[in-house]
Amino acid sequence: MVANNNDSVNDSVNDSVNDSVNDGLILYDQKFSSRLLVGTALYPSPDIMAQAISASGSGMITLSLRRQDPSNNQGQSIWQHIEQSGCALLPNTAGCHSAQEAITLAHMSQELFNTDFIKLEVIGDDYNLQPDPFETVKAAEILIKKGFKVLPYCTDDLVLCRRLLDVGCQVLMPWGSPIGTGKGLMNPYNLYAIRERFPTTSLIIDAGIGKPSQAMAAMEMGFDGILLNTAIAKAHNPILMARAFAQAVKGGRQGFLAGLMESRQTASPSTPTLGTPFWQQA
Amino acid sequence: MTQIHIRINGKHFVINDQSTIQEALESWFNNSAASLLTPDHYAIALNQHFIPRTQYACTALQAGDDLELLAPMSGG
Repeated sequence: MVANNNDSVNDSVNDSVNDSVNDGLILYDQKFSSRLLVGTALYPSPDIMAQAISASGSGMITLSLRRQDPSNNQGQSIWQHIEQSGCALLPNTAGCHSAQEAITLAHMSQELFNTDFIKLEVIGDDYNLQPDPFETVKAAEILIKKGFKVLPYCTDDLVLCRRLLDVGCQVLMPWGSPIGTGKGLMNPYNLYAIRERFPTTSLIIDAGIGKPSQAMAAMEMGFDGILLNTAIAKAHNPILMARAFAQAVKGGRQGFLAGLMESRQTASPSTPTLGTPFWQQA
Repeated sequence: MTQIHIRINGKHFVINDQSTIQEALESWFNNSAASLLTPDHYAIALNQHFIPRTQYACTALQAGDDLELLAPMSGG
């Protein structure tokens, strides 16, 4: 039997639906069912943090290393909640200003958290916490050679992204806007360019996302995931906001897989014009 | 016994000369209000270089050494 046009359309629709069902975020050799990664900082309490992580559905959470103060066990309390979440851990190198600092912190994290994943963060300017591209590439190259699975936090510079791929990164995390600003996708042109130039690389928007709609917009653009913290932790209701982001990321991804219509300058009726009533009465 | 000055997490601390990292940590924890944490709760850098747990007992400290003892903390 020769497939007719309807069969072809149905096959295409079914393929998209199946893609959506089997869809997952690939980070190096691991697949995560959720495309949302969340941070563990700034929550009103460790208990609310734990509930928000659960509501987000995230399979990977970020955390850090800080100086141990034996007289203060707050860090231990948070650590216990993080362990109980069952999520994969993505330690960061936040606060580092050089490749050497980041490399040392990555090794310490690897030992403590028993993971090769590292969110590489080397800050180049304290005003907007913009990552230092030169030190980031230098650190990434060394860490990749030592077997780390590096997820570099970077700007939306196309050439920087290429350099990070050249040294072996399999995931890139360009910023939407500076950390904690909630300004969303500051430079969509650059982000589109990165997406189009590296169609098979896992790309995660990290930092600057303030609203679920901004996360959804990034996912509709074809980004593979979203990493955020402040927008959930600082919401009036972090648990509800975590759920909102989970739905936004899922909706944006499905929208991307479904294929967005092209925008037009002129109006076009959606209701068929054939058989329009009162046609001759105007 | 001769004593030397080192820094632990940026603060001056006095230990016996030739002390290892292991001995310095025990002394540091004993001088604090908290009970001794087990090594799986922290990681160590000496003069900004990572030191694996397996080397705590065999790494001797020198005057002026800078020890960083880091523990899990929330992060974004």
